[in-house]
Order: sequence, then C-alpha cells, then structure tokens
Amino acid sequence: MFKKILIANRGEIALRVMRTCREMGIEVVAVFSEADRSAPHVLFADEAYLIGPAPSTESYLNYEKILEVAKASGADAIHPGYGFLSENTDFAREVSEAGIIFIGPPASAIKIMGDKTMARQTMLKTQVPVVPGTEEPIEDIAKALNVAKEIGFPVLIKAAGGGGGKGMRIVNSASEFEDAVGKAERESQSAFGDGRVYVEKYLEEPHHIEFQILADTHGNTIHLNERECSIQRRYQKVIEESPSPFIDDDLRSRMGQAAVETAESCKYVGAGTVEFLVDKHRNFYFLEMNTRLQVEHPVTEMVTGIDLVAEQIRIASGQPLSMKQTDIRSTGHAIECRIYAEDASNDFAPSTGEIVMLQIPDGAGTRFDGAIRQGMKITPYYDPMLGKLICWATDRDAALNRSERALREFYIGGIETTIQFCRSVVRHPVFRHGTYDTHFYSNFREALHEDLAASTDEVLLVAGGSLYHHQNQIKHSSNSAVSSKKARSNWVSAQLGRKI
Amino acid sequence: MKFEINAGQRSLEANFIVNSDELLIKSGEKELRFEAILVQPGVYSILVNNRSFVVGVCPSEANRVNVNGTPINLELLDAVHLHLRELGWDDLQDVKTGLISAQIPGLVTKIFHKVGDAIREGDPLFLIEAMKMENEIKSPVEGIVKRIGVIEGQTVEKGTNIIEIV
Repeated sequence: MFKKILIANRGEIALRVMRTCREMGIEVVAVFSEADRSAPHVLFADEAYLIGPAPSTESYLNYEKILEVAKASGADAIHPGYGFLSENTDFAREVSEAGIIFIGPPASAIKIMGDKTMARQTMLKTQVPVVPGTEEPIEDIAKALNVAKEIGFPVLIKAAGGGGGKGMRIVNSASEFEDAVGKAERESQSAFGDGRVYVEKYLEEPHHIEFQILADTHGNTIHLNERECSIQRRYQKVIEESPSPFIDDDLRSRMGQAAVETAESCKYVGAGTVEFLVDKHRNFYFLEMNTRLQVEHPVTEMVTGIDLVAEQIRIASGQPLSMKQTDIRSTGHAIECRIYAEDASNDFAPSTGEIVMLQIPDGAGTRFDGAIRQGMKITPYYDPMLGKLICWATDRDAALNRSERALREFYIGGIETTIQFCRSVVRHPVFRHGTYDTHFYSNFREALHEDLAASTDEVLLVAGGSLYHHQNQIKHSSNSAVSSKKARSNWVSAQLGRKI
Repeated sequence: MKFEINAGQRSLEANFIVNSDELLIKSGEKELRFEAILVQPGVYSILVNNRSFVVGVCPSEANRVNVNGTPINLELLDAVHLHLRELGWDDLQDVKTGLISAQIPGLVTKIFHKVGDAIREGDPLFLIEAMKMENEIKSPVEGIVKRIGVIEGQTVEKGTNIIEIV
C-alpha cells in the first residue's frame, strides 16, 4: 500500500480524498496556489507546497510543477480528483513514466473516452446502444432523409460545429425535413461559421442516468448501480439521487451490464462513470464515459456503503476488487444538493466575496462534503461550487424531507448561494413525485423562482422586525461610527492593473 | 412608528411599537410580540408569540435577512421614505446611470471602446470573467465614453467603476 499520496486538486474534492487517505494511514501532500494559502485542503494536509499564482493555468494545471513536488516530497501516487488534470492523458502518462502511480485509468482509456467521435466508434463495436443518427454531417439531403426515416421521427438536427441550442431543430415529419435542414444550416453558419449539420434521434423527455463502475487490474469490472442526474441548469447538474425514481430493476440490470461492457471496451481501470440518456419509452443510449471520480460520487457511497476513494486507492495499488457484482446492494435513498456560490435569481451568475456567516447542517443521515470556513473569501479564480449536501434516509420520501430539513439549517451569509434554489426543487411537487426529466428546470423555471420569494405575512413581519431591531442595535452600539466611515473611491488607478 | 415592508411583489404595512425591551408589531388583524436576542454576531433568536425563528442579518448585505434558512430581500420604509415616495421622489433611484461599475468581482478580459466612442443603449461595453464564466456587460444608456477606469487584464473588485458614459 502507498505511504504518501499527492492530491493534485483543491476545494472539497481535495479534502474528500485526503480524509480517506488519513483513514487508511496514508500521508497526504497538498499543492496550492498563491490564492489558497489558507484553504482548507492546505490546513488538512501533512505537507503542502506552493505551486504558483492564482490562475489555475499557472498552478493547478501546471503539471510539470506538480510532478516536481511529487518527486521532491516522495509521494508514491497522485490522486487528481475531478476537473483540472484528472482527464489529461499527457499528465497520466508522465506521472507513470516518472515511476509514480496515477490513481485513475490508463492514459489510453482516458484518450478513447475523452474524444466524442472515438468513443462513439468504440461503442458501435459493442452491444451498447448509442443515440442513432448520421455518422457524418449531411451532404445529400435525400440520403439524410432516408436515415431520418430509418431512425423514426421526431429527429433532431444538430450543428456539427457548436452547441447551446443554436442550429438545432426538432423535425416531426418527413415533409418538414428539407426545410428544417436548410434553416438549421443557415443558423449554424451564422452562429459558428460552420454550416454543417447532422441528424440524431430526438429523445422525448430524456433522463440523464449514469452508472458508477469499478474495475481492477485483474480483469474484474462491476457496477455500483445508478445516479439520476436530470436536475440540471445550463447543462450542469444541481441535484442527483440514487436510486433513480424512473427505472425498474430490469432496466437497472440491463443498463448496469451495458456500463460494465462500456468500461471493458476501453480496458478501463479504477472508478469511472458511464452516462446514458433514457427516453420516456425507457430506451437507453450511451452518452459518454467520465474517466474519473465524479462530483456526485457520495450519492453512490451513501446507498452502497462503499468508500469509492478507498477503492480507487486499493485498485491503483494493484489489489483486486474486494467485492463481486452480487455483493452490491443499494440500501435506502440518497439525494445530493450542490451548493454553488451563485445567484439563482440572476441566471446563476457567480457570486464572490467573504463568507461572513456559516452554519453547516448536521444530524442523522446528513453529510456535507465541502471546504468552506467562516471568514473565507470566495475568489473568482476557481469553480463556484462550495460543497455538496448529501442526505440519506430509508426511502425516497424520508430522504426528501431530510434534505429539506438540512437545507433549512444551512446558512451562508455574505455571498449568494444555491441553497434556497435546491430547497425549491426538493419541495416541488413534480420532483417529489419523481416524474421529472432533464427539462425540469426549463419547464418549472418560473415556479421555482417564485417559490424563492414566497413567504407568509408572519415571516415578512419577522423579517421587517429583525431588520428594524438590528439597525437600532447598530445605531446604539456604534453611534456615528458607521456613517463617519470615509467613502472610498470606486475608481482604481489603471496603472495598478496587472497586465497578463 | 409606521413602516412599509416590501419583499418582491409583496407589501405589508405595519406599526412598530417599542415597549421597553419588547417590540410590538401590529399589522392588520395581527399583533406580534417580538422578542430578540443576539446569539452570535449577526444571528438573532426571535420569539414571536412563542414561535421560534432564527434570523441572520449579514453586515455585508444591507437589506437582506435570512429567516429560518430563507433569504429575503427586504425594503423597510419608514414614514420619511413613505412621504418622499408620495412626492414622487423615489423615481430618482431608477434613473439609468452612465457610470458602469463591475457588478461582480473578476478579470476584465476585453474593453470594446476607447474614450470618445459613441455608444448606443445595449452596445457591449466590456467582458468580465469570473469563475471561468465570461459575462458581457451592455450599456444601459446612450452617449459618449468619457472615462475608462481599467485596462484589459485587470482584476477588479465588485463596485469598481469601469466606464463612464455621458
């Protein structure tokens, strides 16, 4: 087993990995940027090394420097967390070449799954279904129409050169096809300077459901059931849960088998996630494979009782999996709410500043994976996620109630957060009923934001009374100290600016 | 003392009566005995007719209180403000200003204009990057760029003046 592991990351995931390392008796090495000297992962670690200025390109993405630190500190392995260098094939390869173990899959697997076309081609050789469509952009409209007919309407016309909904058209019948392709081509041309479009099956009311897999170096691959991740905004997940309220045992086992086959197709090793889209008819299609630990991995840990980071470390040290597929049992229900430093009422714009107040929920079945502290400054340099609240209970209703209870206890003052938004979601009738899909946010956007503002007369009066009381307290305690504070100029000297 | 409490679309009138240590709040039929103690800096325990509330008042968020975990953006108008509004003076707060400051802290990555440029309402003024996301700031007014307070590549605090248009 390893004696010392370097964690090439920051924030909650660095802390998450370090906690397991310490429980396993392994020393931990932190790396940090100039902005992170007092960050929680630095305080937690046994050793910590400054690797560069705040921008991540000069610090957390500077893998030569990180490798140097790994060698100097005598670390025998590197855990990349998620994001940053976790899916960088060059880094994975150079770590191995330096005689240090990369806690993750081989560079070859990262390469295959990191490239959409290569991943699709690899999957087409397996039994795992991929979203049907034209392999190449449309050149011959008659041929494309034939493909569309084969797939079955409705179909989706998508821009080859971009995303974000531009150049995208849903076509319901063959008669609309040619016209829609023309429009989509013109729209893509003006949006991306690339008029190429292709045809894909349109999935109605799609669900985003992913399977956790574990594979060792001895040829064993198992899956740890699913996570339902359909609550998203701006293509980013906000709430995840397991089990999915949408799939049954039969579909679960077929998708799990497909996830295992996917992992085997790229000779995967370690912890990974296979993402699927599932339409309303419960057809499932391979979307992509994430070759790292996921943000939402605690959901799986809570229902299976398995420490995924510990498994990653054991696998990387060459040990075989300690469990078989038949040993995997999901018990109860887990829901994760991601707490971002964002203003939900202002289109989720990032919010920075100092965390002036902090009260983290606790109590039965309540886990918070974060890296925040009162007095800490949230800078614009890194990902705005502050942490994840994961609630476990014996069934889904109880887990929903527990999540709402814990979110109510959660108080972060000084910056905007998604705490209240998550509360609106967990008490929304459609979410509670479990009949939501990836359109949930766009379908119920208004109701969710209305809920943010709704409160009873009593609460409003309490709020008003509190503000009045508070202002009086300040007046009495500080007299004119507040008002005599010198007004600071908001113009800065341009000469002070740092040229990059 | 008369107050108007506004939160989003909601509005309530209330009379705040201070009796030694207790505050009595009357609003319509409701009469609330309001008792507050500070339990930690910025956090009050409030008992209202024996119902318990935990209220956070964050020093950096002047008009925001957090009641039992729910943040509420509040406007508390006293008699003076109510009178000013009757005179129609509160519209002044809504006048669009040509002084554009950073609404979020971040890195100014691009400034589209130089001093002397003519600007129409809605024209992009600058890009500010925060937390890996780029935000385009558009002009709320029409006019001529009088002053630019930052250079491209400069990191700015919230509230820093970026461009003045007259």
